Amino acid sequence: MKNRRFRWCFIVLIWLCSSTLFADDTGSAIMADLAKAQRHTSSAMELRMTLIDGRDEQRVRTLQTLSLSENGQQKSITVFLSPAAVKNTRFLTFEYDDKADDQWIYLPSLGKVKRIAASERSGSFMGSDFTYADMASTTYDVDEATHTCIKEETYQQAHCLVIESIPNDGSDYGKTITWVDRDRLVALKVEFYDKSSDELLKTLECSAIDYVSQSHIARHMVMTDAKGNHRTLLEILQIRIDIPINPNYFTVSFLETGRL
Amino acid sequence: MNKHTFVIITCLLCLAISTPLPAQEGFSDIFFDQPAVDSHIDFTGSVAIQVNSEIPFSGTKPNAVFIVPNASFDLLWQERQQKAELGMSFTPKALSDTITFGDVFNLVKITRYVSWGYIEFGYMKKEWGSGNGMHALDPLNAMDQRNGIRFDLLEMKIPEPMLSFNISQGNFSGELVYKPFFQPNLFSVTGRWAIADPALLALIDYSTIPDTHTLEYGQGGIRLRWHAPRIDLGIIGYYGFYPQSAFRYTIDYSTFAVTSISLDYTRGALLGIESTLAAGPLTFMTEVGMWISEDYKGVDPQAYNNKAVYQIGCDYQIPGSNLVSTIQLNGQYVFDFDATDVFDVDTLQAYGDKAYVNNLLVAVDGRWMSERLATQIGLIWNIESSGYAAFASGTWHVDDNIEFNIKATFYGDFKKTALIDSIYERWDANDSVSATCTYRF
Repeated sequence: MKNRRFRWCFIVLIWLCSSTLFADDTGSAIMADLAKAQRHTSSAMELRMTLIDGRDEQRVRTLQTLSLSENGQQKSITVFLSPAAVKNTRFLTFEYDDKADDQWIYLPSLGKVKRIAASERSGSFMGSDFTYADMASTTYDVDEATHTCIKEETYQQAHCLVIESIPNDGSDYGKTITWVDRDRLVALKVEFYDKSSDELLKTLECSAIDYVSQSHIARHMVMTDAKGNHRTLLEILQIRIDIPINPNYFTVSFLETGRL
Repeated sequence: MNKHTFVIITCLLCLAISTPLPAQEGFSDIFFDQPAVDSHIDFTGSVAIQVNSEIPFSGTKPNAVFIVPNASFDLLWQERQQKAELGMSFTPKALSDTITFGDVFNLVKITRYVSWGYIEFGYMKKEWGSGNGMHALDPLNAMDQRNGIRFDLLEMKIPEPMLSFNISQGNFSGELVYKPFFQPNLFSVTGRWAIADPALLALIDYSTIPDTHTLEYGQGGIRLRWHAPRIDLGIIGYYGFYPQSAFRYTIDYSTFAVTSISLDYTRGALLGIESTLAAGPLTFMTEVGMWISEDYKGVDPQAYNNKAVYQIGCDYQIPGSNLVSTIQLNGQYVFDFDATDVFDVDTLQAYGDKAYVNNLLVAVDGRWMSERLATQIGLIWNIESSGYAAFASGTWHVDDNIEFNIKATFYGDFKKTALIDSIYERWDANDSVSATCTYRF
């Protein structure tokens, strides 16, 4: 089971699909505002991920995740609710700015907590079309990429700024192109391009925009492989932002017992 | 008051004074439209059919094919303060075979959650130590070798009655375990999985084997762990028995032939430390310990000597792939080893008259095609004997309920000699391939 970067995934998905009250005509300013708006102290999400293959056969995974920013440290814990084979598998992650992250997994079949290394960011997230790497090396932070507003157009009946983001280095992608709803400032579409061939690899489309705690959130996200063989639907079933969360959730003790 | 009465009274007192805690199903208290679950029952299980065929590489035996159906059921009842689990497995046996409790039940456990941790009681398996796939410091459950080597460590463990107190405080956690009975490792004395020459093993005098399922064979263990940034550290202590049977030979000195073999067990204590260190894509694991025998001076040939045990290993996720590899070196060094005493139990189980034994485990797990296909390859290599067990497995997940698995297992010796000096070489003709279809519900 791959693991760790749920938080990366979720946070950037929110980045992609959120809005702020600030707007600017330049790509960099818009991306900076998006990043600023997403600095929440805590969040709680329940997600359903549907993996759809080329024959439209579906496999569903559900999970809940909590994250908390405490004393400058990011902590997150994720529990799988389904399918049965991974139910009650839990991950605990402590992220640090100046050193390697800590991560533990609890496997209910073993009844055992085990420390694990950070997984590869380019690896597939739960077998889906989402990877950890593309989200981690996001082009949305101003100092990580060069952002250019290349055009304006109407998409999903919204007036969008189309931002081309070319990462400085360390990304698995050559560039991303993002359609940002200018009024709600939420990303409605992202295209991911290959690093070497500039070929389109996959496309993220966001819909069901909701307004939660002064942020616009896309509750439905579909990542489609450019070759059309498979796609992944990620639905936010429940989300709560900036709520008080008991810090004891983010402990090895809770990881092992599921009890506070 | 004897020690058993003391243990029972202590348990009851702990339960009485402890504050119960509510259970969590996910984070039910946070998600407003999902009320906390007070009590519920989960019933899961699987039915499987396996076709198993021996691979007649040796060319000396017919290609036997077995069809083995299996049904497994897991029942979980969870309430606010306690949890009860029942695991059962049904596989047909020959009518002549006796069906034991352990043949059907692999888990019967009650857990009670309290303010300082939790208490477990029942018939269960536990895995201690930091390693992956094998351990040097994992004394609580004996291993079942009656059907060869399986690469799932938990599958080889024999569940046993235990009482476990688990305490958590901040970054520290502790576990105290009491086992009322002693279950030694199980091995086969006849048939294709015999661990030694069946003619020799036929000399075992079963009337001499002590009944270890009495309270006189009680054992205890403690494990303390500290979870720090980047590293987990632990201390393990165990007082009980060496898990292997000790052999006592009766010799006819006129012919120097063995006339009978009795089995006994060596009382001992294990002390050790464990650690896990994460560094980028690497996870380093170490276990180092010392078995201290009742035969501390190593003078009794029918008792195991003191020995040092160790394991070092590393997990590595191969960059840009969904491949995870592990390599583990597990070994032991027997003190006061006397190669000239051929009937000493330590010498009998040594390879090449060496006081040390090392086993290398290498395995690679892969996931492909959006995790529909999972592959595994693995090798256990006994360095001193050059014997090995290897396996390759592929599982196709049709959906989340149905899966097909094909697995091949091989035993052998890289340097075959006239003398069979390891179980791997002895099981050389037991190579097999199996195909299994499993439906989970």
